[in-house]
Amino acid sequence: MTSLVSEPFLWRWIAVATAVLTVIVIGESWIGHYRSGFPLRAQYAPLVGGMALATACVALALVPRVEWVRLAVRWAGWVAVFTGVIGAGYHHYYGIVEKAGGYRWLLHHLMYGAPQLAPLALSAAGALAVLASEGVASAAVSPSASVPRLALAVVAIALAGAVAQTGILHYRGAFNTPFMYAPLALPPLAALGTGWLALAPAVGLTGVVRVLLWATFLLGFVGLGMHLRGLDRQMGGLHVFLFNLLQGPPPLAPAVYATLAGVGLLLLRAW
Amino acid sequence: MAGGSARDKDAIPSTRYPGYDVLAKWRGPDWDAQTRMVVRRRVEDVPRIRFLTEEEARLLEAVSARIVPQPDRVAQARVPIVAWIDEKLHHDWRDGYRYEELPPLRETWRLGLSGINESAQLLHARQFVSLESLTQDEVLARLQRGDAPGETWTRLSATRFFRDVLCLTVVKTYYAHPSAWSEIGYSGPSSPRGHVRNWAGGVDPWDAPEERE
Amino acid sequence: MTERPLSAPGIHGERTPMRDLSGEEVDFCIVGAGAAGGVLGAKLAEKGFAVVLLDAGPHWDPTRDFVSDEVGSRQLFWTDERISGGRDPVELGSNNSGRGVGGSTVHYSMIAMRAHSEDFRRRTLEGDIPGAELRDWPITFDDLEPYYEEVERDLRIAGPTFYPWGHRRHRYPQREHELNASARVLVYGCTALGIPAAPAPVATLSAPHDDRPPCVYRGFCNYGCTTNAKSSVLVTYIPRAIAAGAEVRPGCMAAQITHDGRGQASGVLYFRGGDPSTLHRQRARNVVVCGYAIETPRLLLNSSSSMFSDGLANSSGLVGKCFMVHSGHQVFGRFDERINQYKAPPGLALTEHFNRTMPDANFVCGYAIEVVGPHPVDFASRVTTARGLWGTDLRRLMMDYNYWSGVGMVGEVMPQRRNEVRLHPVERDQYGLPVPHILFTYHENDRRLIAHAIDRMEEIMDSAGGVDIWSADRTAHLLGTCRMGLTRDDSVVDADCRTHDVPNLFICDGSVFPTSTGVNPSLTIEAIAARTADRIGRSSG
Repeated sequence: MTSLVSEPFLWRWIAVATAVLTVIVIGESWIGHYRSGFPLRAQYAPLVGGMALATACVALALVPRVEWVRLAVRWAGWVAVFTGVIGAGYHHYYGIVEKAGGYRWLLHHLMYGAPQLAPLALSAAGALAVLASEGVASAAVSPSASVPRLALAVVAIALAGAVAQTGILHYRGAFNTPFMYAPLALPPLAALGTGWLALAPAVGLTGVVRVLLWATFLLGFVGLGMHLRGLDRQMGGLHVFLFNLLQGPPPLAPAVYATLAGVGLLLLRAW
Repeated sequence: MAGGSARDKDAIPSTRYPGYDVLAKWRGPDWDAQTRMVVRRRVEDVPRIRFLTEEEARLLEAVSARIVPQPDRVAQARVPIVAWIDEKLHHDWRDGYRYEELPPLRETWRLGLSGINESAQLLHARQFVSLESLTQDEVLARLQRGDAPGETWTRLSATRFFRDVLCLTVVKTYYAHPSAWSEIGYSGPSSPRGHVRNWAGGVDPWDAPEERE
Repeated sequence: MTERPLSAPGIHGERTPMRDLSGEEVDFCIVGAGAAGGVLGAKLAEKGFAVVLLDAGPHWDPTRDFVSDEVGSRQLFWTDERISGGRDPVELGSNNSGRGVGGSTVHYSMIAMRAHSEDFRRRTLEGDIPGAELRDWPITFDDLEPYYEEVERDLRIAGPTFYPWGHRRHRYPQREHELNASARVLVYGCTALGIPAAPAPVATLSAPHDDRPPCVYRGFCNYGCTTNAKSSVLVTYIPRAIAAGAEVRPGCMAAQITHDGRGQASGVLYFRGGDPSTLHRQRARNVVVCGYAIETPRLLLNSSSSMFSDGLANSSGLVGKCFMVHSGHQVFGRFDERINQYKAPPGLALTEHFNRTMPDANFVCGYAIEVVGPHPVDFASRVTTARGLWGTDLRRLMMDYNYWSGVGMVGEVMPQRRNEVRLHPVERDQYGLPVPHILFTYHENDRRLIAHAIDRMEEIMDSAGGVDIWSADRTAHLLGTCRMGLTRDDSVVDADCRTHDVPNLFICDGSVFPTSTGVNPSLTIEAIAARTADRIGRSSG
């Protein structure tokens, strides 16, 4: 018997989680783009698209039965997917190709240039939103329903991407605190497990993956605290807040793990 | 008389940063207490002349006005130069070295200033201070080239004095002043807050904003 | 008189308690608490020895003593009179001479490079250069490699993951810093010319370490780091030394090293607090001189006695001789984007592509090219002295200050016996001590190397899009005046930095370099000091 269920109730909570994820992504996007000085108008796109997506997702959670709300979420979701992909292209060009040294200095630019995978977090949120708009509509319970499995796949891929992005940035920070290894140790296992379940649902594995996802969920909150502590360790600490916000560890980023793990847990009906 | 001709006024280009005053950041996170103390002195506690004689001071004033002319500023707004050079000589604060061919610092300045007047006399039969600005420039240019007349320059290397003592000290004094910092768009003191947008074209919110033509 | 316990400033404004060893005969009295003195003091104290470090300047408190102002920082530099002569007289003072605990590591640009294995064998590789005294070092790169690693670890050097030159190495403890605009200019220029470039390994934190935060890119590195991100000896080895029981005694100008009837060093006589009327004495079983390449020979020469009439440890006659600097010419260009060259540490990128004897060159040895980032007073000084600009021309150029960028060389210079640091026959300082007289003239090899380097630097600036390109004469660093070697007639100290003449007198600083190398010397000086501490710690006591 499978524990994968497509229930409208859970999908409303997934919509909430997706909205939270979107807010985190556009928050970090704003900080990064502000740091760059918004030299390109295109940098406003993730803010606009993200706000639209987050609003639509909240609406979906509140009134899932309204047809046009579902339609709006689907549209906003796809727009977010494409915005993220195009954003990744911009990040690649302006963050690596155009920079001094180009590909020869790849590692330097991966560490310091526009983060290569970050825009795809918006795509992940968009994909989850599209799937949520499907999920709230279907009333049937199906063991091998494709929508929840697709969503699990998105969670797995997004977790893997988060790990890769974290890896390069924690490497840049020289793992100055041993706990910086944690997001590279635990979430990959959660991503692997979640991905496996997406491909081949298996009862025995579900329990293990639930534990991994819970641990990842909590890790996200610990990470928030660690990043706040990291901001305080900069010169001037939280007194020179805006400046250190631009210099120090991104304050919202660890919450991505919590929201993705939360979506995963919802999908595995762990609540 | 220090100041410069109308031709000079046109020749000083306008600043790229007309609305910018580095001192506006005085109370912010870019200026720490010890920096404020040091710069306050420089801006407010201009010392009186204690080492140079009145004539030497007037001569140095005229020379400085050619080395770093300030015709674009009213008299009260001009960056003081002579007072700070005089303070250095009054305390005999040296630079940690002097070139072999120069006597100790105080003597170098006294000799150098009298040498400028000597050259002015020999070339134009007048004191340096009473020459036209462009003529003053000619005298100084001769010092720079090393063909200024005068017995002083057999005892003191004119080129060394002009380049490594006179120009260097006057220029350093000028660009140590916040008015100069504002004019060149220098961000100024930065502690504890540093800089973020360190790439080409990058301007921090607290940097000098530029007026585009 | 009430006994007040001694304390020293910590790095966060606190006071740390410190032993008072003034009345004792200590194991080691170290003159100069700079790059080498600090490392030696920490390691010897940690080995259990009683150590006193004397320094002529103050013990800086980074929270109070460093100002974000060029001219307001003159107290960081050696401003006692020195006479500079020769055909290419060297600019001293703020150019290369620090003063105070931490020495020049308080105001240096933090570039932390290793010498190459070839640098230790220049005489073997290049043969005899007429007019120069090339020598092989009595130590090899392999001897020093573990100490380079140790010092890089202790200082948390922030360097690139892949460093294109030199031997295979472990990863630097921290990652390189983000390139600033002037560093990118060098990289653009080098990339366009097909020259490999790399982020510079620097001694400033790119991530928090212990209680020190990472760099905030103030750019006032050359005027004291208020952030404590800069891994100067002041905030790394000196606190270690004090914690291990050493005493750091500031305001002490060493006047003479004393010796006993058997020719063994017995201590140091010094003036304290600027008072020229009283000489104090610190008794010591061993004396280490770490005053950098001008004050070290000066102290040895001032320590003449009936037994050592030519100065202490000078049977070779080489104390003060073979003075070297690095040629440090800079090339600037103007760009059409704002560079703001004063932001961030001044030297974040470099190329060592030319730091070798090149097959088609008319000179031997090589040079590194690094980024520079002068603040307004420094830049205006170059504009007036190197370009000869004054008047409205000067003000006009300076209006574009934010659009200028520059690079500078660190060029190997030949050791020549005619280049020396000697005692001035007539002039005396405020203590009555003879003032140092420094004579320097470039060798023909040096001139050709400089010409080659300036051409390359101009090409780099041009390829990066710079216009109105010009160059400024400069030198950097002070080296060579008490060189290391195997024999007493041809060197002052041996491979362990022990003087040949006086078994309990050591010299450990830039003056022991037999050849200058083509890289910034601080890391090599610190590595030599770390090795010396192990060597003398093993044999002394």
